Amino acid sequence: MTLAESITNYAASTGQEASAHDEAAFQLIYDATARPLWAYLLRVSGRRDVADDLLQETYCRFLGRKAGGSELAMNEAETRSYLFRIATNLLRDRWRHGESAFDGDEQGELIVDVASAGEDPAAKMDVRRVMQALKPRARQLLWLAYVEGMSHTEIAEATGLSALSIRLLLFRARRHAAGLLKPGTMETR
Amino acid sequence: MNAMRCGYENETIRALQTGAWSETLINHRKSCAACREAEVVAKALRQDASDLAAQHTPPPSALVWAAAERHRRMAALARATRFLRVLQIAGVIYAAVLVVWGLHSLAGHGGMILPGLDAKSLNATIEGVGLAVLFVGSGLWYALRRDERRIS
Repeated sequence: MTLAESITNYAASTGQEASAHDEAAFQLIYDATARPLWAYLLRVSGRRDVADDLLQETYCRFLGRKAGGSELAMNEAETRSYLFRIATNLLRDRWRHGESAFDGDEQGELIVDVASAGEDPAAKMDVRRVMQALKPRARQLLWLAYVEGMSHTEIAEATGLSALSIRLLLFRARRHAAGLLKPGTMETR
Repeated sequence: MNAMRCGYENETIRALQTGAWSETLINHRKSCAACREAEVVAKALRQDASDLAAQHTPPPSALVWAAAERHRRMAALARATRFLRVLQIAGVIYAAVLVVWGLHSLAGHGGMILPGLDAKSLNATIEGVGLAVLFVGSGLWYALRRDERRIS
């Protein structure tokens, strides 16, 4: 069964009781989306524990939507986009409720295993630090636009901002990030 | 060209994803600082994203599925017990009104408010109050007892 088929089957299946068929379909969706979703949650929140929590919460909400009776059939891209929208809302809820730890890794909560980071650990540390130097909203916009390849309209739907605001905020965020990514910039900060 | 966003930016990001750079896009990239900047940022972030995704092993889907099921059951339970809670509140209000009314009636029997209440009516009133207390009390006891059991 392909991912697209599993999404269609999953959306089409009915009944309150979870069937084995539903679970198998969910597994395919999960396997295809959990890693990128977790990476997004981690980079925006800056904390592994928050990313883990919100990943689970995102899928609970996703499954809850189906149980709520919405039988909206979605394709693969829409499902992925929908999951990112849920995750974005959950992140927003977190920082509305005063999750101050979003801005730092001073408590050793953050994340990247530099030793296993591959061929250029310094470059990877730079990306991490660049993201930390940005505001959570800017991190979100950059990730959704440049990693997930979402359009301004899709980002607007996910974040609840207007497409015009996205344009301006994304421009500023990109400018800021590009400045920080220039060699030597982070060391002087 | 708009200083904020180049019309080719989306195509540049898409080309980064697919690796399909058209001739026009390659030529444009040479002259567009905004697209080059977007490319630098996008490349760095995408590399980071793929490294993170490679490092992380998400919890098994069965675990998440089970958590979602628990979540779903809790939500269903909360919906189902909402009616019981309304009944509990209504029961408490009813009992309070009944007590006030009973006291009022008894006071009236003493000649202050309801002088027409004779011994027969008083007996009927007391029986009525007794029955009401029995029914309301047993209903409340049952509902509250179920809550306690669930909490423990």
